[in-house]
Order: sequence, then C-alpha cells, then structure tokens
Amino acid sequence: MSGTAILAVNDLHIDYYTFEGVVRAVRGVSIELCRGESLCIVGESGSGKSTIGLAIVRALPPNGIVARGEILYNNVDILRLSEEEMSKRIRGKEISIVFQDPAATFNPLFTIGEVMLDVIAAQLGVRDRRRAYEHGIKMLKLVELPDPERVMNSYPHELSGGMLQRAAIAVALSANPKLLIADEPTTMLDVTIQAQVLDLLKRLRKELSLSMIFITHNLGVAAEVCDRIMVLYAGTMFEEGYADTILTNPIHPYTRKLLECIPRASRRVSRLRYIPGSLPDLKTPVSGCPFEPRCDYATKICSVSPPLVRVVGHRHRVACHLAQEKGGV
Amino acid sequence: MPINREYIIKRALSLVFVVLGVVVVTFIITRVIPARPELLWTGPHATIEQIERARRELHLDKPIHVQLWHYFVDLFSGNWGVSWRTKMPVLPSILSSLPATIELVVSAFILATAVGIPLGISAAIRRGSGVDSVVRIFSVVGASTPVFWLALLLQLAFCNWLGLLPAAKRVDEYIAISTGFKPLTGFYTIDSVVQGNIPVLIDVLRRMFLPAVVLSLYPMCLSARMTRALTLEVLSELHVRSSIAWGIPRSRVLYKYVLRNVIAPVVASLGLSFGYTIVGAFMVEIIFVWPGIGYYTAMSLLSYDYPAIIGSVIFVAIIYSVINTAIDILHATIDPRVEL
Repeated sequence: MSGTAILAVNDLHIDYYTFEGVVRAVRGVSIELCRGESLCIVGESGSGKSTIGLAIVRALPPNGIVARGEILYNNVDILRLSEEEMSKRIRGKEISIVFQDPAATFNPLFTIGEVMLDVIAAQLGVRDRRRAYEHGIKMLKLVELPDPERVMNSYPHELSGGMLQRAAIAVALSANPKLLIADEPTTMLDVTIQAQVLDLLKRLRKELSLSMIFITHNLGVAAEVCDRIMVLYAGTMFEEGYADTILTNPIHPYTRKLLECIPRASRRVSRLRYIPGSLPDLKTPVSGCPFEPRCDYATKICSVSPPLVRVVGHRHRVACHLAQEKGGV
Repeated sequence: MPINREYIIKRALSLVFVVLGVVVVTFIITRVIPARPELLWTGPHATIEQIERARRELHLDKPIHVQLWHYFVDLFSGNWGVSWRTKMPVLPSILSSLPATIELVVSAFILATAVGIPLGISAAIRRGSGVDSVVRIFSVVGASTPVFWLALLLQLAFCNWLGLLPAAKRVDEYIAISTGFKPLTGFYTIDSVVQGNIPVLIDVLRRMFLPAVVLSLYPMCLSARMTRALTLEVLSELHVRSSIAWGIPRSRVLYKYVLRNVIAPVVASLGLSFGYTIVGAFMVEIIFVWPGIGYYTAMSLLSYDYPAIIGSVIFVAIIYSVINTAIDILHATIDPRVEL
C-alpha cells in the first residue's frame, strides 16, 4: 500500500437484498487513490459504480449491505467505524459527496441555507448562526452562484437544476472535505450547464487540492476531468490506469468497445455505435468473465473461470484472460 | 407560505354556497320523510282543529318551495326558528351545545396525533420488528372498530364492571355547585383552569376520558398508518441519504427533516377524517349523554324537529369547512410548495 494513498478500497463486495433475490452489485473491487489525485469510475448503468461511491460515505440504502472487504481512509477502515463516529469524524469534513439528481438531493421543505447551516454546525462546530451564515455565503460564492443570499433563502423548487447542483457542491464542500465523490454530477443537466459544472469541479479540485472520485458513464467526460480511469462492468473492475493510457492504449476488449462508441464530430459515421447485448443478471452467479457473452474475442476459458487482475504497465491493471502480464511497478 | 387575502375571500364565498346547498338538501330530505311533525308541536291531546292550525302556523300546508323560501328569509334575518321539541329558539340552543362538542373533538384529535404519529414513526424506524407488527395490527383493527360498539364496551368495562370512571355527562352537578363553578366559555377544561377549580377539572377530565379515547381511535389509527407508510417512503428518498452523507447527524435528519416531510401530508389527511369523527361524535355523545351538538341533533332527528335538524346540520357544515380551511392553511405553512 502506497504511503500517500488517501483512500484504499480492498476487495469490496456489496449486495442488495431485494424481493427478487440478492443482487451482487459490487464483486471484489479494489481502488487506490493517492492524495490530490482524481479517479474516474466509468461503467454502464447497473455496473455498480454509484454503489461504490455510496459505500465510501456509508450512505447505502437500507437494503444495501457490504458483504466483504475494507475501505481504508487514511489507513482507518471506515466500515468498522460506528454510525456516530462516521458522522463526527468522516462525513462532510473528510469525505463528501455530490449526487446525480440535484433536485432530489435537497429536502423540498427546507431552504438551501437550513441544510448548509446544519452541515456547518455539525461538522465545523460553528454554533453562531451569523458566522455560519457568512461561511455559507462564502461557499456559494466559491461555486460561482450569483446572488448567494437569495439562494441561501430559496427552496429547492425555486432554483434551476444547474443552480441546485452548484448549491449541492457548495454544501458538500462547506466543511472542507479532503475527498469528494461526484456521482454523475452532470448527467441530469443541460449540455451547456454540464460543461460549466465540469469546469467548476476542475477548478475547485485545484484550488482546494481535493482528491476526487468522479463517477460517470461517459468516457469523454472521464478523460476531461480525471488523472486516472477505472472501467467497471457488472460489479467487477475490468481495467484501470492513467487516463491517457486508457484512452490511447486500452487493453481490455470492453474498454476498446467503449472508446469506439464515443461519437466524434471528426468521424463521419451514419449510425451511432453500440455494444450489442446487455449486462448480465447480477442475481445469478457468473462462473467466467461477465463480459464473455458480448465479447468478440471470447475463448473457451472465458466462460469457465473468472479472469484475474494482471498488472500490464505502470499502475495499469486489466482483468482479462487475453491480457499479457508485464512486470508491474 | 403564500397565503393571500384572495384565498380567504374565495374560501369564505365557497362556504356560503356550501351552506346554501346543505340547507336545500337537508330541507328537502326532512320534508319528504313521511312524518307528521305538527303532532309534536301540538302535543298528544290536541283536537283536529288545533292540529290544522298548527299546520298553518308551521307553513306545513304550503308547497315545499314556499316553505323553503320562508325558511331562507327567516334564516338571513337571524331567526333560526324555534325547536318544535323544546320550544326553545334553535340558534342559542346550538351555540350553547357547541363548546361541549368542540372540546370533545379537539381533545380526540390531540390524543390521536400525539399517539398516532409517534407510533407510526417508531414502527417505520423498526420496520419488520415486533413494534411494527403491533402497530400495523392495531391500526387496522382500530380503524375498523365501530365507534358505538367500542363506546358501549368501554362504558360497560370501566364504568359498570370496574367502576373507575363516571359513565355520563360533562360534569358532576354536585361538585360544580358546591365549588361555585361557573361555565364562562362553555369549555369546561378551560373554565375550571381559569377559575383554579381543581375538583371540577379532575371530574371533567375523568368524564371526558372515555368519549375522547373512543372518538380518537379512528384518526389515531389513520395517522399511525399514514405516518408509518410516509416515513418509510421518505426514508428511502435521496435527500435523506445526502443530508446524512454531508455530515448532518442521523438523529437530526430524522427528527428535523424527515419528520416535517411526514407531518405535512398526515395533517392534510386528518382534515378529511374530521367528517368521520363528527359522525362518530354523534354516537359517542348519545352513549355518554354528552350535551353537545351531536346529542342535540340526534334528539331532534328522533322527534322530526325540522328547525333544529337544519340548524345543527348548517353548523356542522360550517365547522367542517372552517376546519378544512384551517388545515389547508396549516399545510401551506409546513410545505412551501403548496400555494393557496
């Protein structure tokens, strides 16, 4: 384990208990994130990427259970912390999160300010309402919201999606966390707003020297914001490495397919490309590689045994039977 | 919380139309009943001539629309008529029996929410536990128990077998007279507290306990069930998880944020159950000889006392409309998205 790692997730397994059965949403994912680094988790809907983000702040829905693994934040396993210790020591001031749907992240019956002041009071211990309010205004200015006083006193239904997402970022950052998890923060916004929010996150990351986990289904977005990319499929890690390595020299067939699917203005094609087939049912155990039914290069072994994670380059890992092992550094 | 004057005026206007509608419907219903109310007016030993004169005096010999017209004219000049049963003016009789009913129904609603909402929340938090099962069974059984049956049963048990509580009336006359109790507002709990009359207060509370409990059962079960379902729904919403993930302690999220989300619709639904509770109050008042508007109406109905029946029905309609307006305003103050 590298000494500068702020977050190390080891062999994480997460199950959801539903009426139809147990959904094995995350199946043995490991993450290593260095201080100040940003990692993109890329995957299709249902790949388990959001579940990992929720598990890191211990905010899984009641039916989501961490079955196995550890989440080390500064070498402390936060899965072993009590709910109270989590709220006192970790959430807000160490790790915070921004969600996909800005309208649903805020309680409809409370103003943005009420939520923000509660976070500031609980995490920074600022009991003086006026000082907390000033800090809140400062945070809203930081995320470039015009008229912060009005936003402070607004109910969620009075603000636009883009403004709400900025406000959510401000609330999430108001107790100076060191690690921000951004769970598809731009997916539900208009395209023009998306670019603005991405720029904002990039700027904040530099200014506040945040470590960041950015969850998205869009490899193009991933390339723009992050140092490193992890490709997730059916709850398992397929490939991980530096962003430029993944984009220019992908090893895993799934990563290559994903890259082919990014529409480009320069490439004139009559139809959008896609990967035929769909994710496997996560309720039934898979014996081999979960991508085997959709993979062009599948061989006999792919349906029999799950591929092991191989190190194929400098901090470049791939889980595929076809990948050639290289001495990792 | 945008409550404007326009809304209040609109509701007041609609109240007028509600009352007009209620009067017309009640008037027609009482008149088509095959009854001879003039016999009540004249008494058992009347001659045929006296009965005929009574019919003319009461306008019973005229067509129904003429009778209705006479009634409206009287109503808007403040004359609500004289009860054929008691020979007393209707309006003062109703006004003097109103506090008894309001005191009973309000106590029942306070009891219902004070017990029902915490029950629902504790069931939702411990979903699937023993507490949850007990609350769920209680809320279904309680809501489907007939009010009159429960009232009789509790009266039998507590007043007759156990002898713990008095079975009827609002206050013991002997205690009231001997301690110099004066009903000022008609709300005996308030009156006795204002006068510092502890013996009367205790007696009043002892007598109100059973009817209020019986009456509270339906709204209590309704609010418990709704609170449980709503709490479960709200707890699964994203904003609960995001508030916790941002660092607000779980208990604060539950008791400040989730609670308000749950209470807003529960309060709104209680307004609807108010009508049911008034009907329940009629039965409870008869069984516990509670001199409220329910008791008055029931007695009037049994003796075809037309002016008294219509007068009481108008009052119930007004109370129902006012309570629902009040609950709408309350709902709007809790939920900023509701515009009135």
